[in-house]
Amino acid sequence: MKIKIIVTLWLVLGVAGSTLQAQKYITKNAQIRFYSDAPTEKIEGINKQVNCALDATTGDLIFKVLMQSFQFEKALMQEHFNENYMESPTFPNATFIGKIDGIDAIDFAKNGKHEVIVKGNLTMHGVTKPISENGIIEVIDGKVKATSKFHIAIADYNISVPSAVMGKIAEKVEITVDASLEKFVK
Amino acid sequence: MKKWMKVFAILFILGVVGAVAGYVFIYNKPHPSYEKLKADYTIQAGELYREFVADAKSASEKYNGKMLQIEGVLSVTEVSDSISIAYFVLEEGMFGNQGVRISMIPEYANDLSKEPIGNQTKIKGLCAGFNDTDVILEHGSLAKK
Repeated sequence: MKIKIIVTLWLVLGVAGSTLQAQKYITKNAQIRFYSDAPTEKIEGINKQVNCALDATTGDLIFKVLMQSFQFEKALMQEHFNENYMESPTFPNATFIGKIDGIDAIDFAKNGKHEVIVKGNLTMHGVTKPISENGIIEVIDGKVKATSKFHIAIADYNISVPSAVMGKIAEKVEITVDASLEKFVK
Repeated sequence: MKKWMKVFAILFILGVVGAVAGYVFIYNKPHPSYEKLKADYTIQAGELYREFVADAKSASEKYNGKMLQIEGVLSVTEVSDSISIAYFVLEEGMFGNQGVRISMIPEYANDLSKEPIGNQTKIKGLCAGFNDTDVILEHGSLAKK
């Protein structure tokens, strides 16, 4: 899996002498918000140190997330998130490797807001699932803002919730992605 | 008062006290004061980075979730969405700079902004892991000089 990610990063960033290097955008400070709205409890975690790379020519898109970088309001929530549900010591990372459909229609030299569909594989808790979600790509003065909001079913990723706390964790959690990417110049 | 009523009253009071204590001390327990936690390891930034690059799984098992005191030459400081980040850059890679990145506790943002770039710096933080480009630490605080 690690080799696959490195190879994808290699392709996304085109370090093999690509003449299109100016079309790569990266950030190490993308934000991912996890929100569970269950009948008896609302749980929110935010990670502000997420790696994201976008190839504006091919539409390749990759996110790399460290689970232990999610911060929660309550210490107990953070402990449960890492130890009981995500099992962060065993599965420290989540990744998304995918592609933006119709990237050709976006002019990255011109300011504009574009609705897009992103398809790819989300790997979390050791489980890889294909996903297809709506997102927005906004070009602002040479920078790119990528946002998306979608839901995932935690059972799809083999995340089990003990019956004692069943009402406290939603079966589907909301994921909000917000990445402000800058042109990568090597 | 009858004996069974006394027992019931005592159990009821113990139950209420237990529930309140559980809510206050367990459910609502505060995050630790990370800056006051003792470092589990004191290590040079370069040494830590090389350990993760050489064997991420083994280094993750050793360092993730541990308080580390990092020593090294401070290369970059960044402010992103109100988070201050200290960066020990150790090599150039696929994402540009690679090394050890530490997001600071907000109270230490001002101190970090005054820290001269290129100076030998000691920063303590909680290790979150390695994302193939950087070792990430959270809740950073500058060690007292």
